[in-house]
Amino acid sequence: MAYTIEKRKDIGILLSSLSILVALTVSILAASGMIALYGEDVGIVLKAIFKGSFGSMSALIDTLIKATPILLTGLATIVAFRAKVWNIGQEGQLYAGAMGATFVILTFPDLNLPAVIHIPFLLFASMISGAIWGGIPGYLKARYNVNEIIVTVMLNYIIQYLCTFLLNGPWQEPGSYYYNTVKFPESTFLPLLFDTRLHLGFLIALLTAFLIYFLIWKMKLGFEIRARGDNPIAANYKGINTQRVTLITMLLSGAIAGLAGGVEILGIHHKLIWGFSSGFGFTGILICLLGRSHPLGVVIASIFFGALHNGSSAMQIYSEIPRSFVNLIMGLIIVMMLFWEAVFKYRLRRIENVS
Amino acid sequence: MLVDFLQSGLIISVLATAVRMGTILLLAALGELIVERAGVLNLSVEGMMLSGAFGGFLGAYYTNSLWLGVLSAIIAGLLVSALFGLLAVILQIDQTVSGLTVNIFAAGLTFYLYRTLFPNVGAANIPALKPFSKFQIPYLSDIPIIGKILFSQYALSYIAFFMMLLVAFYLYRTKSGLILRTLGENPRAVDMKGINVTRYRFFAVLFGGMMAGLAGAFITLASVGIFVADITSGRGWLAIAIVIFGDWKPVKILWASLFFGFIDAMQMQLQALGVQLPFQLFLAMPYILTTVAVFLARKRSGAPLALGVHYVRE
Amino acid sequence: MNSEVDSPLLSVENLCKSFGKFVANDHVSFDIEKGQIQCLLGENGAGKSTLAKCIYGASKPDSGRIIFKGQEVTFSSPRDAIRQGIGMVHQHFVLSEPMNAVENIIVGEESTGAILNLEKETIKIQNLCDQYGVTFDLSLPVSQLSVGQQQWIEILKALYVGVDLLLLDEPTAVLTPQEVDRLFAVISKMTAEGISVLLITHKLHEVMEISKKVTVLRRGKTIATVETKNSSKASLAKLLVGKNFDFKVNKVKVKLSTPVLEIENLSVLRDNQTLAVNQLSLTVHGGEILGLAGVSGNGQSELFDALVGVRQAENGEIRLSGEVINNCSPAEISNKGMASVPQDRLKQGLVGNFSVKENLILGVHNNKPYCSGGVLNWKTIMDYSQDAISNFDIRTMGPEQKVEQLSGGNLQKVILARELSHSVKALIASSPTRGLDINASYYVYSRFLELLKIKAGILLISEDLEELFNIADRIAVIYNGSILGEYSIEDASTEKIGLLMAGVK
Repeated sequence: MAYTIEKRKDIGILLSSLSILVALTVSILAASGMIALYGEDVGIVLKAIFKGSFGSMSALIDTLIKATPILLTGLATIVAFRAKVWNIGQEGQLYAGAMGATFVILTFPDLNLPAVIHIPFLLFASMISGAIWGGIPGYLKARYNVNEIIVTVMLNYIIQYLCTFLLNGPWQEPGSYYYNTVKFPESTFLPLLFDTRLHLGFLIALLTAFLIYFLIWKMKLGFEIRARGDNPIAANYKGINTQRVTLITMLLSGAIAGLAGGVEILGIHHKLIWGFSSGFGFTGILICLLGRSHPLGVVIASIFFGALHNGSSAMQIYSEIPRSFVNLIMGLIIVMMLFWEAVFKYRLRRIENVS
Repeated sequence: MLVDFLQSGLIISVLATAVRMGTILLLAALGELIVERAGVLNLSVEGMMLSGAFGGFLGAYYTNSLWLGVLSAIIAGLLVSALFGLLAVILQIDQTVSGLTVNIFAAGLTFYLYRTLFPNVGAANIPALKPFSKFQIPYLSDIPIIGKILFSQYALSYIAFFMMLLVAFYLYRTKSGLILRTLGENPRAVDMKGINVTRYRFFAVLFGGMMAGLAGAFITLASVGIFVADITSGRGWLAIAIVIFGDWKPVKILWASLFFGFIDAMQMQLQALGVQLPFQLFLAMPYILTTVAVFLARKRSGAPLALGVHYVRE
Repeated sequence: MNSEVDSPLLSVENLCKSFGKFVANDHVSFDIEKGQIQCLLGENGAGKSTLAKCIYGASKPDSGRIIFKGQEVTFSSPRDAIRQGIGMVHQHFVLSEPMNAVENIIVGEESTGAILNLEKETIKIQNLCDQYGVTFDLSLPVSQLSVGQQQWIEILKALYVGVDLLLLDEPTAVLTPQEVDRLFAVISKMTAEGISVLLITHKLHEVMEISKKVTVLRRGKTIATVETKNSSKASLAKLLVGKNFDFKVNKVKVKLSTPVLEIENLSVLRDNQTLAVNQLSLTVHGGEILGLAGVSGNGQSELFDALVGVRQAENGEIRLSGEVINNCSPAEISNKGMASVPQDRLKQGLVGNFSVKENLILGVHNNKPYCSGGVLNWKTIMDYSQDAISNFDIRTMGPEQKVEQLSGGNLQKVILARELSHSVKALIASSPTRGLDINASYYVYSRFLELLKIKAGILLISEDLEELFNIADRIAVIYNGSILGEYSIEDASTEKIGLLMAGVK
């Protein structure tokens, strides 16, 4: 009896879920193995992580705060990846957003607007800035078919240098040695929720998640985005202007990433400070892949990631394992997810010998 | 101002640095050239270089031998590329997604291992080793000006030049190279000759990994002697752009690499000279230039026709 | 040289090959002599390509024997076959465009050695060219060569290794008349050198011009192998298409109305910038089905693309109910009442990953009532989908099922449901029943007939003559990009149409 390996037509929900389960299991086992190799007690470490992430109200708040920016960048990535437009520039667009809001604040310091007008205005400014920074590669791709991956990555570096220049120059707080602006006026502070440290940004992010869901699955534009991603040829035949979709996708994606930047500085730091983003943009890509390019998945993944990040601080108290362990596990999970989903696409089939 | 610059002998220093920076990029770009010529788009070059940089540092640090460090850098790059090859070539997962994922994973793994093996590192006690010193080619390095620029480089630069010649020869003069090039244009043609497309592409990917690892070693083991996070600062992406800008041809890639190296070198010198422009502008130069380069190259005809497309036998 | 007992070079005995239930080759038997040109004649679907694949090693027959040079052979791959002496030149070339002829020919050949000696190889190939009287610049990249020259490279691949039998699959499909002459001259030289050539074709004049014998296939069976000198185009045409069909569909003649689709002197380029549609003119009236017969490759897909707006018209005019639609976008043309059923369902007509209901609105998703203010009205879409599913008898688990899971027949029903649910002035259908079983096919026909009642017109592009005779009111034949001739259904006969399809006016 001979066997042959053939590719399935479709993987189906059951096998897809199974592959995710296997991926997570293998990752957890690997993680436990690494912890053990470190000489640490797996149980203690895992407990510490949990305690640090969900163990108390304070921990939970911190988790949600950490989840906010990456939830937004993850959503930004969804919009692009669903169209198979490979936006790797969320980090730069996030910076653009933060800088855009900063620009408005610093240029009009005596606005004296009530917060309820000032804040949306600033967030809008950050969205516009992010959209511009995303629109550049979007236009180049749509019109000239220039590789958006390279351009977005390059723009990441360029804008961060621009930011450094500004923070060390015209935007620097007078008399300060550090790379930061003056503190923003109180009317720009994102209000806190329920008397905790959790700022409005989290709700904004959740709202955005819902809006993205609505966009992708309930709106005509979302329909065209998905069509372009899944079958650009048929999309073309059926009247969808795929180039227009490409550009709009990048504008939107950039806008949401920009929003993440605005939210982060208006909610946490209240000034533009160097290093305010610890790779939120890139983490967003990770989150999107983990969350299977779906808003619900991204919400879960971002909270999961925020939890791990928080928990890793606690983990440091109880063990010697470095914080970057968390990043590694997240990376491992995605690799496993890709791997197992692909493996489950194949199956063994018996073939009868032909005499 | 400019006259001072030209007369000060700085220009020699700049050009020498240009060669050094350029050959780092050249190594990675040559590796990616082979991979893309075989039809595979590997976006994890940055991750592979970083792995090589770290692996090289690690190897040299523990064995006290720089060349063993180079070897471990190559192995590190090889392992990361093997993961990419498994996902993208063997399992035929989308090449873009595979490359980005492996990039993220390699970066995470590298940083984790660094923190694990060197805990509690601060600016004061950063682990360092004695890096390579420049190798002066006898007689040739005494030639005025050119001698300093071309013949007083690190050994790895000479290796890079040699690899360029080797890659060019391989691609255009060997049977295997012809097969590789055909793989990138029309894999079916290769399949019909009874050659295993998957295997060939996988080995091409591995070569790319080794070269990227080597490039990474160059960064940590020559002139710097330390490893820090993001020491590669996007050079992997520059390498990918150089392949495009060099129209997928070895000689053009050489010039493109040297040019980018020159920009890098200029940026360092201009800062030192106190030129009245923000230094960040110079730091950003390579990236600005890359963006311009890919825009100019948008009509480049050298892209392998089957690049990025999985081969499925009909 | 044993020429007294002339055993054939190749003998195919009772070769059978099926794909699932579909029998592609049914006890095919014929011989090919040494140093001879033989034609394999048949329509699309007759089984020529399957047979060819078995002979040149790409496929294993289910049963039967192939005897080559006196011995029974089984080939494990085309590589294996070519080493034993049988080579194939495909209709669609397998060339690396930026590389030159020499590189394309020698890639992967063991005889070249690890380090290439391009000069030596070039000389060797140049000699082959001289031997057959072909001249062109071997150093030019393939992309700069004419189609005829590219084809010569494919032939050279086999000659370089050295074959005794060369199969050519529809070699003249994309050649100009001059290139055809050159090809035939080369083939004659080959046979003079002792190489046999099996020419797979549907063109009768070629058969008459160059072959010594011709084997006719129809619906998987060998109908006959005859000496060309004893045949005529008419006799071959009859063998080719068989008897006249019985009309199975009850077609009521609908009174024709004004033209709904007018194509005037249309010219369209292929991707490689050659002319696919060449000054083509056709008119489809309301209430009629105009069948467009022709072997694939004569410009049908480019015509389709131009009509739906995906390809530019270089010349000429297309009018839909009098309105010029040449340079309109696909969305505009669709909205003006042009419905289309493409040849490749999953590639051109549907998004496989989308659900049934999503595919049902693809192309009209911009219009009320499905969309207002940019928001899709899923309730309305769901209702419409459920109606469509029941109206069009789409066998699916529901509107949410991913379309790529459906069978071919149901895929087509989804497309039909989508295209026919909105006001239609003209419908262009390309091979609409390809791959469908009888029931699904008849369902498609019934839907087409209903369209006629509302005075829409249908352009039915098809390679299936039976289908055309069943439901078309007129049959035009496309050949080399223009209309070679046209008959009303009363005047048409399979012989007449077959001749036109084969290029005979």
